[in-house]
Amino acid sequence: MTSLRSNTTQTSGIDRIEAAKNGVESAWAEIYSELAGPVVGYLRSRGAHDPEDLSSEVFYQVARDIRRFHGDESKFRSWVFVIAHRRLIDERRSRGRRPDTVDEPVEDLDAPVGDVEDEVMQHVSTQQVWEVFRTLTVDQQHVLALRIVADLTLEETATVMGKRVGAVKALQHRALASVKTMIEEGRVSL
Amino acid sequence: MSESGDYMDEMFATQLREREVELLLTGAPTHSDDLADLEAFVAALSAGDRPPRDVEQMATSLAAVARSTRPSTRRGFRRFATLAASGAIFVAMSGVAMAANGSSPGDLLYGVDRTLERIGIGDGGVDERISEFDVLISSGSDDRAFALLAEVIDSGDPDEAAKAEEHLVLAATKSSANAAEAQEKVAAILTFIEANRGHGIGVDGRDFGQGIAEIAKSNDNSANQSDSGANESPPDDQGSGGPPEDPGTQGNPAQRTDENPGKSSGETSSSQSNTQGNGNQPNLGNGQNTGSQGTTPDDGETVEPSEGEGEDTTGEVRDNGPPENAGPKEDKDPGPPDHAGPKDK
Repeated sequence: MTSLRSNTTQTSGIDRIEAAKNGVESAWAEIYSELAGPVVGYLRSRGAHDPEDLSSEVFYQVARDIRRFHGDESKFRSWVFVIAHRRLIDERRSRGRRPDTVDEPVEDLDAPVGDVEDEVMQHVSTQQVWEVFRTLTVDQQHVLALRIVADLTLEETATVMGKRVGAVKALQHRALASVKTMIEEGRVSL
Repeated sequence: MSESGDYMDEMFATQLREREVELLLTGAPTHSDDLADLEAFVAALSAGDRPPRDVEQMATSLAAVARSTRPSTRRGFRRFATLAASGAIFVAMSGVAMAANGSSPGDLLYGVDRTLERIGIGDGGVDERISEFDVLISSGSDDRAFALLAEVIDSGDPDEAAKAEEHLVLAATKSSANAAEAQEKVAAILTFIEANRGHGIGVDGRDFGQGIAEIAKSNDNSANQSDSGANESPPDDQGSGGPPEDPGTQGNPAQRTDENPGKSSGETSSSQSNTQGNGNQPNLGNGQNTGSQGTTPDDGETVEPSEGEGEDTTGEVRDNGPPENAGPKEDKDPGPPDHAGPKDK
C-alpha cells in the first residue's frame, strides 16, 4: 500500500487522490486508515468534545469537497487538517450554543488487559505530558499538535496555520524550550 | 579564531539544532544530550490514537459521498423566495413573526416559523434545520425529520444542501445496527437524493422526505431479504432493488430532467438501474467507477491550501461562524480536555 507520507511518489499520490475523487473505495480505505488516527489525535489534542464523531464529519466533508481539491498528497494532508481545524471551531461554537452533555467514560472492551501498575504509571505520565502541553500558548500547542500528533511536516504545518515556515520553526523552538524548562525545574517527570 | 569564524560556528550550531529538532519532532533519536529529556515528551504526545475501526464501512460511505457530490444549479426557488420575501416583509415586523422564530417542532408557533422561513423571513439556516431534525428523530417523527432536511437539500443552496446531506449520512450510519446495514442505507439515501434532487418536492418537502425516511427505516422491514440490494427498497418501490420513487413525481416524467447526467452514484448501481426504467435519469445507473464522473467538468476552482493566512484555504471549507474566528488563527483555545491524552496508551 502506498502511503500519504513522504515515501509516496508524487504520481501515485495524485493517482490515489484522483481515484478518491472518482469514488474508488480502495483509495478511500487507504486515505482513511492512514489519516483517521492523526485526525482524531489532532482533534483530541486541540480539545475536541467528541474527537471520533468530529473526525467522521471531517472525512465526510473531505469526501464531499474532494472534487474541488487540486494538489499533491502533501497539500492533501494539509487540506484535511485545515478542514479538521475548521470543524473544531464549528464544534466549539456549536457547543457554546447548546447545553453540554455529560461525557460517559468510554471503555474499550477490545483493549488487552495488561499489568495494572504499568497502566497506572503510564496513565499518570500521559496526564503529566498533557498538563505540560496545556501550559503552552495556543499557537505553540497548535504547532506541536500538527507536527507531533498529526505528523505533518514543517511546510504542511505552516500551510495549515497560515504562517511562514520561519514562524513555525520559531514557535516549535519556543514550545520545546518551555517544555524543557518545566522538565528541568522538576514540574514534570517523564 | 576570527569573528567570521565564530559566526560560522554559530550558524553551524543553529543548523545542527534545527536538524536535531526535526529528528526529535519526527520521533527519531536525536543523539543529543540536550534534547534527550524531550524525547519522552514527544513520544507520549505522538502515541496517538488507535488505528481506526470500520475502515471498510467508512470507505464505502466516503466513496459514495464523493461520487454523489455535484454542484446545484437550481436558482428558481431562490428567485421566488426573494420576491415572496419582499412582498411579505411586513409580516416579519409583526410580533407573531418574532415569537414564531426560534420555536421548535411541536410548539404552537412552529408552523408559522417554518412558513415564514420558506419565504425567507427569520430563516435559521441549515443549522436550525439540523437541530430540528434531531428533535424530531428523538421524538419518533422520522418522516417529518427527513422531510425537513430533504427540503434543505432541494432548496438550491449547494452549501446548505451538502451540510444537510452530510447530516443525513451521519444519522443513517449511527442508526444502523451493523456495517452492512449502514452501507446500504447510506448508499440508498445518496442514490435517492441524487435521483430526485430538484424534483417533485411538495410544498413542505415531505414527498422527498418520506422517500428518504422509508430508506432509512427500510432495513427494519427487509432484514430477511437478500443482500443484493433489495433491502434498499421501501415497500412502495417499483423495482426489486432500487431507491424509492418519489411519490410526488411518479407518473410525471416530464418534470424529471436530470441536472447532471454525467454523474454516477456508483456503489448503488444495482438499485439505480431500476430508476432507469422511468427513462428520466439516463445516467444514474452506471455502476461503480464507470469513469463518467472523471469526465465531469469540475467547478474550475483550484484549491490551494497554501493560500493566505486566516483565509479559508480550501476555498470550500464552510465556516458558519463570524469572520473573526474564521481562519486558522484563533484567540481562545481551551486546550485539550483532561482526557486529552492519547487514550491511555
